Amino acid sequence: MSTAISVSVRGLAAAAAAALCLASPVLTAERVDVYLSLEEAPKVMFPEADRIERKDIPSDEALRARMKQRIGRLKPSILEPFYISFTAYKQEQVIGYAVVCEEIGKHRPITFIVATTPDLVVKDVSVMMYREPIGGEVRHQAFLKQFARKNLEDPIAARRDIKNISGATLSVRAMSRGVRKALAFLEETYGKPAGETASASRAEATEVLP
Amino acid sequence: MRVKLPTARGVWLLTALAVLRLGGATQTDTGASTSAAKPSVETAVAAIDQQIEDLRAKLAEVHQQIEDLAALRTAAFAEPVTEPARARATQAPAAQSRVRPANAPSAAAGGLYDSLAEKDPRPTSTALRPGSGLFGDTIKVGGYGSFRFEANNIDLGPQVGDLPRLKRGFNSFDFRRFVVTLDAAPTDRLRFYAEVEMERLNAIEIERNAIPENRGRIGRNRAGVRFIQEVEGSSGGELAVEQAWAQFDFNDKIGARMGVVLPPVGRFNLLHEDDYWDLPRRPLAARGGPALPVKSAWRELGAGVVGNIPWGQGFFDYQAYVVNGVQLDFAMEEVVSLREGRNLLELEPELSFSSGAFNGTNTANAFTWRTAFRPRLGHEFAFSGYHGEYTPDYLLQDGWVNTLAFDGKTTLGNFEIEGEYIFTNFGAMRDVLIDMGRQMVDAVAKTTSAETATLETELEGEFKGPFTNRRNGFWVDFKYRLRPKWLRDGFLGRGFGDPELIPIVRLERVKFADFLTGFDFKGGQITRLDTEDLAQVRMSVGLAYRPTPSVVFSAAWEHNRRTSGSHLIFPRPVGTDPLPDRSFDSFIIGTAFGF
Repeated sequence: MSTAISVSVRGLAAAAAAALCLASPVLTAERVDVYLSLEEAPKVMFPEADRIERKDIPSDEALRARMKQRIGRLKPSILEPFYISFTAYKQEQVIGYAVVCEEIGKHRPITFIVATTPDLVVKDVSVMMYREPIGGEVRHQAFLKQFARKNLEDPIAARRDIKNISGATLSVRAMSRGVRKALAFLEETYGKPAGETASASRAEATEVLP
Repeated sequence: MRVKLPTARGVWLLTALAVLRLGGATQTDTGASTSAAKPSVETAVAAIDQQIEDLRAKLAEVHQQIEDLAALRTAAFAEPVTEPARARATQAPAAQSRVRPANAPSAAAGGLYDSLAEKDPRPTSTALRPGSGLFGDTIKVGGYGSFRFEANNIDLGPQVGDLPRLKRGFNSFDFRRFVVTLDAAPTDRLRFYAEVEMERLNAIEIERNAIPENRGRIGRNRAGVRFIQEVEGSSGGELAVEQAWAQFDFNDKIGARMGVVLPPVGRFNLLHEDDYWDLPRRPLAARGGPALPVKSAWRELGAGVVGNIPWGQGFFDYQAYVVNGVQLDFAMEEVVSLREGRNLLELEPELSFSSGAFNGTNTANAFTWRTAFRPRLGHEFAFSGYHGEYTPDYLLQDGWVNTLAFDGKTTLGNFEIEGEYIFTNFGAMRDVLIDMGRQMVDAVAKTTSAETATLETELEGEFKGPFTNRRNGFWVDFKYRLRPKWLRDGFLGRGFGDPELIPIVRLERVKFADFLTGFDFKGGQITRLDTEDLAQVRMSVGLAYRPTPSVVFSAAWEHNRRTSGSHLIFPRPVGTDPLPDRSFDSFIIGTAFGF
């Protein structure tokens, strides 16, 4: 009997190996990631747009200081040297803004894009690149949809208004920090704070694309 | 008056004079205008040269700016949004999958802004890019550790003659562990992860020497050489490889993992990092009186598959491995005594269950698995198990261990409930012990069972770690996350983004059925097999303070009580009998950190 059981364990392993081989055309396909390139990201965020304008806005000390003030206590782990931002148009009306940001999960940066409505309320968030060995669940819509309709008046913090994922706490926190940072940047850049000119008008490079 | 016309000679002379005069005047004028004209030409030339240099400089500047812009620019938005791309964006995550584009940034080469900034000649502060370590972004070094202080009221040992009563509980600091982790990702489909643990380890010193002895001494013992081999270290100290695996991802739903892995049985064995937990001691079912075959962190050498699949609003996680498996380990002390009329062979094996061999010396006979389902964020439940042969190959009797576990976690606002239940069945333990006894006696006597039957043998087993037919246990944590304003604004929270106070209550219980306390083996048969059922419950009430998610300071009061059997399951002091105390209390303060 023990031999039979031993055989069954080996048989199970063999069956698993056979199943893997049969499924190899799917399994051995090149890794298919749920991530977006810079080219695709704004299009995915604004599929209804007929024109998307990109602006790379340098991040100087003044901008960072203002962003930190808007962000509050949850300081970001990365302050980018410049920000790749987008303005989406439909029939020449602004339908939203987006910015690409990064935040450190446990050790490595998570690259993501945050899209907002013209009123700078989160419309969508998408992870463009995830590099950590664990915690990749933050890439999925079931988690990301929590950020919809958030603005900086909301906490946007793990275990507050953003539900945590066990085993991915640091990634959840990173995404939460990152969305707050993105909103702070967009408010500073595309919002019109009293007495201040929006940074977008001082952007070095502007690409207007049909 | 008559004017005399000049002669031809005179005309020539006059002409020459006029030419000379004119030439001189001209020369004078040119010099003045040449000396007046000379400076303007040179100045003009110099000015032109300067302008040329200025233009060259400006041209170089423009070239540089063009290069800067080219470096910042990515592929132009040459194509309008296509229907397939739009469909991918709005469908479920699985449908968003696509083949990686050629121009996509490498996962292993730092962040997107890093790769763009590398081409940007503008100086960027490295302080803006945390995570760029000594070995670059491909390899990350991390770790965790924990310490605690415990005071308890465990009674002193019994009075034995006039000897002082033995202390069995100590008010003492405990260096629980320090673990170094290494995480390498050479590409986005390959990963390597390792953990090396130092548990209660102060130092390991090895002395190996051969020294002359008594040389040149008259009247002493004969001269010779003394061989010394000593290993010294702190008692209970351990240096171990907890994990060391490599993973190849077929896609984002399945990957193959091979190496030293954690059997995914229950919840705690997978999430054993000390900085995750809000109490300064591990649960009984995982560690103190383990319901698992081997106490956490239990690791085995093997290979399998891991994956995570989006499912509805949640996820489905799975792991499955074939591993070398838990082994019945023993060390033996032999005593051969020849007494008048009696030849006696005494053996004292020390038996324990341990992780399988790492040196390829035992057959891979075990399978372990886990399936976890998260129907919605904040809620998770999982089933897991283990099935493997634990008896060594040299035993005729096969013994199999089966473990089943159920664990879960649910979050309701700031309130969390988390726990697990584990059941382990070793089965056929009596038969295994009989077979082991026979094999030991035969091996020591270097003869067959038929002959040793006439040799009086005594085999008194001692057990390092629980030896039970069946074990089961559970723990459940109830906790609430507080973020009061006074914490954020006070000295405890100043400088921290989101400090938390977490009151927590843990209830736990372990039960050992047929716990083997000792056996005698005589004449090829077990003549005594002492077993009893043991059970212990523990209630812990604690408070944890987390300035950051990876650092915790905690304090807890524990009440341990024996509900069945003659002694407590935990603790098991070294060198003494098991504690017969009915109950004891502990107060523990501890800290754990991760990085």
